[in-house]
Amino acid sequence: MRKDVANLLAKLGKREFHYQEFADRFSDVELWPLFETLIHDPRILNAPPAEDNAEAAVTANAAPAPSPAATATLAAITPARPESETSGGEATPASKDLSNLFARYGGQNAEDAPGDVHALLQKLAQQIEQGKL
Amino acid sequence: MPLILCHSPKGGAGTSFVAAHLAMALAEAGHGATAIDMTRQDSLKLYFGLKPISEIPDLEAPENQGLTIGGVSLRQGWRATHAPAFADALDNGELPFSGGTFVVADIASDDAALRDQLLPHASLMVVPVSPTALGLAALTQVIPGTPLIDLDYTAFIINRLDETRRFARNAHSFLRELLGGKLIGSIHEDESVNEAAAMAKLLPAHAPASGALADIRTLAKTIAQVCAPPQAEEDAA
Ligand SMILES: Nc1ncnc2c1ncn2[C@@H]1O[C@H](COP(=O)(O)OP(=O)(O)O)[C@@H](O)[C@H]1O
Ligand SMILES: [Mg+2]
Repeated sequence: MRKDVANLLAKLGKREFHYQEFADRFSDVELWPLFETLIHDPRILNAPPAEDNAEAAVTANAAPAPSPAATATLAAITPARPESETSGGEATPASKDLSNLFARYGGQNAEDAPGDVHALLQKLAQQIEQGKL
Repeated sequence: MPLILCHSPKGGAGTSFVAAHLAMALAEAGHGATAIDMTRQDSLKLYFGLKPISEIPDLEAPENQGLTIGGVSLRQGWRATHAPAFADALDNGELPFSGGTFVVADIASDDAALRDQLLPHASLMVVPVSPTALGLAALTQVIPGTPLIDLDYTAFIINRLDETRRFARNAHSFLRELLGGKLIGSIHEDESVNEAAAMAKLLPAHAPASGALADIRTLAKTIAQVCAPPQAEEDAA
């Protein structure tokens, strides 16, 4: 029942870096049908690319750029030292970039990062939609 | 006054557990911490060594009638946060929580209305996720209208992780890839969580070596760092 990522990539015929990296990181992971279902679900991952995400921030945060004075509001909280002090117990990509929590406000758009899995998952989803998978 | 909402679209994910122990771990790390049970279920107190019959002070009770356990000021906020005056007060920018402490709110999984009311005032929403098929499927429901990976100010925690289970292991890897930095950590499955509540004891007292306790302490450090008010950041620099 389960397809592993290697199969998925073989079907894609992809040898690009992003896909390769994905396969490496996923080498011990089985791709359960639920995982595929989730990455195709627009409530998890919106297929259209980056631009229209600007408006898609969480309703509560639909405010424009945060003003540092408004300390009581959500928008005022910025990540403290996002790049450093990553010595948490979770020795995973998770703790590497806390600024990701605030991606829409932190300047760096998550989708722009090379090798970013979001871009990859979007590509995978598009491929499947287009019947190429 | 960083307000941290603990809320999950799925009941039983451990939201109350996370809220209680996040508050305790923040207090342990030297921060002021208040935990507010905003659920009708009223079970947050069971993680503070209290019995089902014990009452905790109402959110609006005067300060001198407060109750502090494990360094955390504990309040029952279901009544106050569901009174009509609460929404009005929020609209007027009046928050019933003040002072320089962390306020951790336990919000029931089906109480999207309260979550939405409080979100604009929160520094962070912490979403516990159980590494099960139903736990992952519920991720489609976190904030209707916004794709999960576009949610700002939202941090996910895997709770009740048991690496001997294949699906849980795979789900952990999958969520790490999907959520990236928004997955801020994981808490292991640990029976001493249940035992401590059954003994009406605090987890740190009942099982100081608890794996789940160590995990949440690590998470609390991350969360304190993420939610640090701008002044604190400058002071530290
Ligand atoms: N890390 C954990 N290890 C073991 N049991 C846990 C853990 N976290 C929560 N539990 C148990 O899971 C059940 C649900 O937890 P609870 O905090 O009430 O969740 P929620 O508030 O999301 O409904 C409780 O019986 C609790 O003791
Ligand atoms: Mg609960």
